[in-house]
Amino acid sequence: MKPFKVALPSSIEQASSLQKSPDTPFIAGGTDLLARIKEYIATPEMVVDLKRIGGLKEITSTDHGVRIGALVTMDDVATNLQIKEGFPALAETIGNAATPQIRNMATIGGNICQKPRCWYLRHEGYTCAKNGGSGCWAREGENEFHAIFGNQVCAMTQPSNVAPVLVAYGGSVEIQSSAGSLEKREVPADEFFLTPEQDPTREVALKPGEIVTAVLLPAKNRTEKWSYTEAREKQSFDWAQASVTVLYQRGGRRGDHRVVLGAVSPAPLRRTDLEQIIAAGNLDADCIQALQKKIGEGANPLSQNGYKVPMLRGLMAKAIRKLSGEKKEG
Amino acid sequence: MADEITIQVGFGDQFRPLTVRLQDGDIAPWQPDQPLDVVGQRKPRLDAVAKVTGTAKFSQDQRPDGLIHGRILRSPHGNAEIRSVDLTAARAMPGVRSALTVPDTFEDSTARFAGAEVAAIAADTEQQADAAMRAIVVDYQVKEHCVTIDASMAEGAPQVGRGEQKNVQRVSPRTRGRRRGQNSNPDADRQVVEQMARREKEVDAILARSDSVVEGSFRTQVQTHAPLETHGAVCSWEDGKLVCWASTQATFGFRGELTSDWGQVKASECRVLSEYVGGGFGSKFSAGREGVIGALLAKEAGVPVKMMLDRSGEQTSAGNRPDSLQKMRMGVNKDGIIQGLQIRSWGTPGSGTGGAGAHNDGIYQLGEIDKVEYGVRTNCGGARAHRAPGWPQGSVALEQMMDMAAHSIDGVDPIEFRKRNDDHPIRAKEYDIARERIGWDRPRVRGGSATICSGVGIASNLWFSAGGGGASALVRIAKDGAVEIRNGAQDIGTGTRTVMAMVAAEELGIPLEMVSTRIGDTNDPQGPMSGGSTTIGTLTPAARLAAHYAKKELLAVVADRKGWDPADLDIRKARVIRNDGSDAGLSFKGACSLMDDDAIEVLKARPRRNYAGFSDTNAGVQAAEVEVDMETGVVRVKKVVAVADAGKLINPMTAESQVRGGVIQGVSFALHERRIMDRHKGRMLNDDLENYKILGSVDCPEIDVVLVDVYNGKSNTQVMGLGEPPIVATAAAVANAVADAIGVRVFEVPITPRRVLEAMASNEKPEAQPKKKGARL
Amino acid sequence: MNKRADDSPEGVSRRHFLKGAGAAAAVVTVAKIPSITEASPEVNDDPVIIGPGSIPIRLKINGESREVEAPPSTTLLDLLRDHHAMTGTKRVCDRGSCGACTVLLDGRTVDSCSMLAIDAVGREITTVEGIGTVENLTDLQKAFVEKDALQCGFCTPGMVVSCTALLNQNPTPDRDQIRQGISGNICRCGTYQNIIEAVEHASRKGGK
Repeated sequence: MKPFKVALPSSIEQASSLQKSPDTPFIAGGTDLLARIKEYIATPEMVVDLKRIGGLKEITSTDHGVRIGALVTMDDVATNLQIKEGFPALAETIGNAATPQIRNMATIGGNICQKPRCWYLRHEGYTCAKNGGSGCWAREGENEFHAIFGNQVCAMTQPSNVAPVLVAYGGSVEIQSSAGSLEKREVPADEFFLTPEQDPTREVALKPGEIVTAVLLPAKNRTEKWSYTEAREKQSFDWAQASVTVLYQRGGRRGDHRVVLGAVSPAPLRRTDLEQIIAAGNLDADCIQALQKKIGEGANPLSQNGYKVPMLRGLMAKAIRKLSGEKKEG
Repeated sequence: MADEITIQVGFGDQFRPLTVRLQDGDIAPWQPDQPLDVVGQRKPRLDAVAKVTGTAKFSQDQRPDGLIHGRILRSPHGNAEIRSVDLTAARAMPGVRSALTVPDTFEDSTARFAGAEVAAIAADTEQQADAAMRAIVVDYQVKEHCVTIDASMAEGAPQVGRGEQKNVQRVSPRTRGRRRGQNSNPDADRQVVEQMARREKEVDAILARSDSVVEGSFRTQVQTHAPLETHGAVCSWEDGKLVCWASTQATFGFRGELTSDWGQVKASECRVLSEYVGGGFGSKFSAGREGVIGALLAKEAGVPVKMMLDRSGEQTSAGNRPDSLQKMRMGVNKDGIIQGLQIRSWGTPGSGTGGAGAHNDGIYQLGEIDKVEYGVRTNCGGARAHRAPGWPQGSVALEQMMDMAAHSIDGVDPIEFRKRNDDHPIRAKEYDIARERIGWDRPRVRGGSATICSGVGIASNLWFSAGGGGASALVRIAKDGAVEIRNGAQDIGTGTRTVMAMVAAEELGIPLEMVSTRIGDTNDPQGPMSGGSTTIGTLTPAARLAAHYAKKELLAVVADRKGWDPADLDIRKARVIRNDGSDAGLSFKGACSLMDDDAIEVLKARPRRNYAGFSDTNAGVQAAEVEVDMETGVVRVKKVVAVADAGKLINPMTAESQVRGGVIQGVSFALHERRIMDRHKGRMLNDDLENYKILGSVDCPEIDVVLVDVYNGKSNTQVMGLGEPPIVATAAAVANAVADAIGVRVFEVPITPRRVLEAMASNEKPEAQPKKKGARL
Repeated sequence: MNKRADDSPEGVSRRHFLKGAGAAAAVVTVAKIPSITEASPEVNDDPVIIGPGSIPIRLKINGESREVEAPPSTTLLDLLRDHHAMTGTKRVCDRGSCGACTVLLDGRTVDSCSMLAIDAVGREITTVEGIGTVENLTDLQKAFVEKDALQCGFCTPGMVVSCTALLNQNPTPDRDQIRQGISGNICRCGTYQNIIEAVEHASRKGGK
């Protein structure tokens, strides 16, 4: 790596005022940023290390639910009792992700802010809509792991496992910055993750100097009927090729379901049409059939990733079976 | 003087006498009635403690004083000519001590793939080397590229090679008399073409006469070796002599390249050290450009240079197993006997054409064979021999054809079908063992509407690795009783170090704990490369002979001091004994203390030729059980039964590990691994260990290894190599198991969820059914 | 050995003057790289900015406090291997995908290639060198030897570290838990099954 300076702010204010541009990115766990620096696709003069700022490493109960400090490691989130009991889909998806080593290092804040895995973006020398150029190499190239929905401008998929689950729970992201005198603002998850149409150069709604300080999960959306299913080539370290998160009767409320697809679009894809199908009937074979018929609607498969549609159908069926309490493997 | 003796050869309940003429000075192989104390025991590796404590020093770990760091600049273009390389700015950067360009050093201005070496630099720190590397200015003439065989074979494809070189070149049958660089010698070529046409007609006719013809078109992908320790060396010059701590599987081969091909140092002035090697799998036979570059950078800098590849360089330039497209037609009769086989295959070994063949015409009796192979040039990193070169990909095709043929004649059981076309005496038994242990006949949920389906598949192995001449071992018995055995070859994780010591210990009549091994130093006796699975068969007979004659010398000393008859003495369990079995009252250590010299040293060469033996080949059978998720296409291999034979097993524990290792790589080949090339810029997109998917612990099946001990009689240790055979059948068995589970055949490996889902969706397509008789490929 | 840009004969407590980006210059002594595990970190008036050149970095490695000078952008892996000459931990992918560089940080496994060395200040680092020795193997290491849980040996240090952490957290893991415990460690030679058997063996003996 090209040597860089490391700033060690001890407060949000300091951190925020240091981070003015992509040349001074934040670093948390470092598992994503260091890899990109080694590939010369990030070339910072200085990194702003968030890990010595207090107040960001706890999981606490609030009036509204659970507040996960942005610097809590993935493993600490997944093994936390409040999360396992209150928001089990989150614990499940994190447990599937990456490796034990990475889960011990990576933070939840870093996880939701991580850059796409697109192999064009991660190799030096490919400019595209995301990094100062235009166009998308994957659309007419090697796109087997890329998006089947919303892929007109850019075919990336949101790599964070947490993202679709956060959207399903109606969670939000707490953001602070020194501009606006450190006022905390909360951005709902479904507004936090951006599509390329909204802004191809960003994946999340953060402006320079803004810091994710916490992830918030609302107690009112808890449910004991949940399903997180994904499919991938390897069961050891690998990325999901498709995932389906279903929360049934959030907060015990009839008809309040969430269906969010992951790894198939640039931002987590909430499917209200599928939610309506679930709300309209029972968790049975007819429901599965109707969902499977609809789930591929709107998909624009590229040359190599059409398989994600039947894969989603399969994952959807597993989700419904799990929710209905069927003994069969989910 | 050649001694004629009669030995027993065979296994299980199949033994027969064999008369062999022992070569000069050789000794008889151990016989079934001979009790053995060390050989045949499960013994921990001699280097296990060093490895589990992290004290084993690999090339990557060497830190001679003054060490600096080398970096190779690689072309980012799919295909280019190097017009010029300007090192001026780079040389001026901080810490830079030496630099070179590939055109100057190797007289080669072509950069035929993305990742081809262009220049190299060495600097005090890695960061300085990186910065300087990035300051090298290269003027490329970028050309069009083809990075897949389909692209290269397409009408109007850009030329991959240079001069007259065509993209597609027939490599077998060969045209004799073809000169290097030229496409063909027209007259000889015409003869071959005519012969090919005749053969095609012959086999066409045979297939037309067969009761059933099955047809298939199979694809396998490029697999990189991906050893965990990358290629390269730490190179150091001292007084004009070169020392390389090399990550190599051929210490003498590495040295040979530095001394002869490149010519700047004599063999006597070049020492290659390779005490521990972090994997090779066939890719580390040569010094490679990185080896030569390391030596040159070190020479100019006047300090040692660590020139080891980074992971991207390793993935792109350090070799791979070629891909394959294999089109086959097989004719079989109702009685289950194969009549004939027609094969057309293509594969890319990179910008060359050789070495991309698939071994898909052996193992079984296949009747009359009409086979034509083509090499397809692509602008990709070149192939290198990869654990059983040509075999796993050939088996993926052949073994699936076997299953398809069996099904086509009133559903003959696939194992029964193989037996009818297989006369290998050892494998005949192995089928039954595999069948029983995988639970072949157990009812399973197959196809249909179940969400998880289960299936079993079978395939065979074949290898031929009794070893050969060209190696010597030195046994040193010291006055204090310490015994060391030495050979200059390497142990890449196969257990070479340990089996050499075991054989020496057995022959000397002492426990293994009293023997140490010194390997990995070209100053020690000549040894083989770790290739072809020949190492153990080459080294252990030399080790045994050296131990035998060292023992004789020791006993001569004892006899002389004690006034005994040397012919009446032997050593067993570290005691000197007499032929009647009685203890002579002297320990091994006591015997050693009688020496006048510091030590007895005996150097012996392995006999050149092998004896007839029981079987020239190892066999082997593997059965795989898979589960397929019908909804997502995800395949899990639950269990592999691997029945293997390797002559007389020296260490069943390390032999078992070899088998497990081969199976794991085979499953990984079947399900996960493939090189992915970007069509736009011709670069390898998964030049890492994340997107290049190597099987991990959660994907690992249960592996049940059954080793068949065979008194093979081909050498005095009668052992056969086991590095490669276990990788031959695995992917094929998995592919057959998947087809068994889901009722649809997936014709391409790796069998990814995508391929399974696509195969199920296109179940209606004609390729899945046996073709009409006589249909052309 | 490696030349350093600012070799100095002075001892441990050195003072460096460094410029921050727009902030006032911060003075950093050895003791002052704040640990990320401090319960309530002190809020300095100005942010501490270090590098890009070498700074003293003191770490506790295998129970021993050791200090070297290195750029703060140095990964923990490179600091261990190049600056401390501790070559047990290996570099294989350098991207956090293979686990060959696994060490323990406060008892938990991390990929040392994917973190900065300064992040380990104030924490306990355990490398393979700190887990048993040639003369005194741990039960787990003995089990590795007995069960042939190694071939070429390059993944072995990382595996030993991961398995040690696993047994510390869960002394009686089942096979699936063992598989999960080493799911971040790639072995190319194919020793997974032997490693699983070794861990089972060690845990049956009650050892680590």
